[in-house]
Amino acid sequence: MSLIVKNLSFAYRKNKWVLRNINLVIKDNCITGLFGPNGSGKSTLLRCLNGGLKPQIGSVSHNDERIDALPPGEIAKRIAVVPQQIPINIPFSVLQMVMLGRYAHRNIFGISTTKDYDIVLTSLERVGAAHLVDLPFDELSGGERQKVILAQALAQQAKTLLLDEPASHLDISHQLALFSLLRSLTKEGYTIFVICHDLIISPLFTDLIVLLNNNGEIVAHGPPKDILTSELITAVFQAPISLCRKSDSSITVSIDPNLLNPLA
Amino acid sequence: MYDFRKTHTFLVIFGLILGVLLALLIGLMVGSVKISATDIANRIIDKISGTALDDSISRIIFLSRLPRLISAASSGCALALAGLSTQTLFKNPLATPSVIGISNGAALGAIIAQLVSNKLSLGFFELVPLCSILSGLTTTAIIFVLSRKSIFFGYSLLLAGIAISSICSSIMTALLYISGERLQSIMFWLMGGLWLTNWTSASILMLLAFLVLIILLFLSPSMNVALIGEGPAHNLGLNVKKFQQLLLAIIAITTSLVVSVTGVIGFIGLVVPHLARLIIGTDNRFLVPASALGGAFLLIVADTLARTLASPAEIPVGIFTAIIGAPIFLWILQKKISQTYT
Repeated sequence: MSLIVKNLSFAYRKNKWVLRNINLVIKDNCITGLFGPNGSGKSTLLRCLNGGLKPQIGSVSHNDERIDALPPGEIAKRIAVVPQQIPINIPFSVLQMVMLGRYAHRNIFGISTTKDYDIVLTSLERVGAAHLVDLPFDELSGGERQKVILAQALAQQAKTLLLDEPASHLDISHQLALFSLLRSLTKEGYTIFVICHDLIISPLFTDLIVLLNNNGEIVAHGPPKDILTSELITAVFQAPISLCRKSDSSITVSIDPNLLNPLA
Repeated sequence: MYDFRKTHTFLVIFGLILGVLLALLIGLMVGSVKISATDIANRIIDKISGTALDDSISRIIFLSRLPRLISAASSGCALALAGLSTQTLFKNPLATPSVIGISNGAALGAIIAQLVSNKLSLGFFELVPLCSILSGLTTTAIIFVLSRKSIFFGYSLLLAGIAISSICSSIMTALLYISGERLQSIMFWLMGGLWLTNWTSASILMLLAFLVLIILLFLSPSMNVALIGEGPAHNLGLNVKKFQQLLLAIIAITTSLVVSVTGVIGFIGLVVPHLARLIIGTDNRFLVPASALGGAFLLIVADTLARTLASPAEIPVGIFTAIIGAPIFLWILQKKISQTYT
């Protein structure tokens, strides 16, 4: 049981709670998906998990050590993050960008070794971006950038991987490739916590799902078949959706057009 | 050791070392008394072997030109590194220690001290440099405290700095207005120059430049990580807050110390890091040494021109840093742009 969240509440402004009393155990060697409506605090929770944000109440611990007591360099060796917002105007090449993932493992002179170089190239190959290695990062497309950032996180060689909507810029075949990569990583001992939006592909690859509601509370936590029910999804997302589960565990989603509201 | 495959970068740094040495030699040779390279070599060999003659040429070399050249090289190096650090801290290519008010703060202290003491200081431990350092550091502390509570550290620090900078420059203008016949000498000091240097200031500036260079070389991997933003930098293992505070302290101490000796020499902190970046790219592990050498080179050349062109009069060196630096910068910028878009 590596990553444990206890009684966590977080607010950006005084008494405007974004997350309320979160209790969560992120199971090792599994893919846990975090679902919830826009503004439910998914990204905030993710940033609390590696100490990027400090919760006002409660704590996060990794291997029984509190995250806020660990120096950032030590956290980075244990937990890698693929953020949703990928900075633009980065003046680095793809190679340099992925090499930054080796920062926590750098030697005292900050000189990259052949080992670092090999790890960087392997990471780029695993995400299918080896052909981009010499390009400037800021000339890449959104999807290519997401892959490079994922490679950067892999180069960090931290066994817990937190991803914030890693598929948002990817087409369907690359989404499938991404999730099958995540699946194979769990077999190598990685623990994966991933924020997802789509209810069709990602549930096929997640072992467990955590569902946040608009108040920043966990409403459900369990295997996809228990979470992805028409009642729960309709209640949490306030959308007229009915989910139909087939015997082979795939899901069909249907929408009642009479109940659709245009965006206010 | 894949970093060492970048032969281009190493050639540039090697070329800069040669350039600095050559500029030093020419700087020793030219002036109101011309000294030949062989004379210089002989005097230096004599000095090292302890058999030096105490003639006028020796005195020009060792008491006048050498300390001044060392001060120029060290100040140029320190100013360029302070500029590079400021650009990194704010992730903003236009940020310099003068934009965030540290230069003006230090200059204000020096002007007040000059008006109070009624003399231009020569020594390092006298009123003018001490006031200058203190007020530079005080300005930084005020800016830091004003912006500390904000989530957007860089942005509010920059704005607070610009505000404090304009307050300092208003007070300076007011002081200059009431300074009477001392106006010219204070204006001259403000425009920057190295004629007040001696071995004390040369050794302190050299020590400063050396320490800043070593510290920034060790910080350069962190500077690279800091460029991708605070959140991502934390994810990669950088202690963002500590790094920013350390960098701000380095910028403040370096700028205040240099300004206290030389006045406000503009442009080096802005243009040298950019020049280096255009030539060798953004990797700070190479940008740090390249900027240090480039700053030293530019200020040696500018100062040599400043003291020789209108000899025996002195021209403020700040004029030359811009006149030499800006055209080189524009030329390389044009070349890079045409490479990228053709």
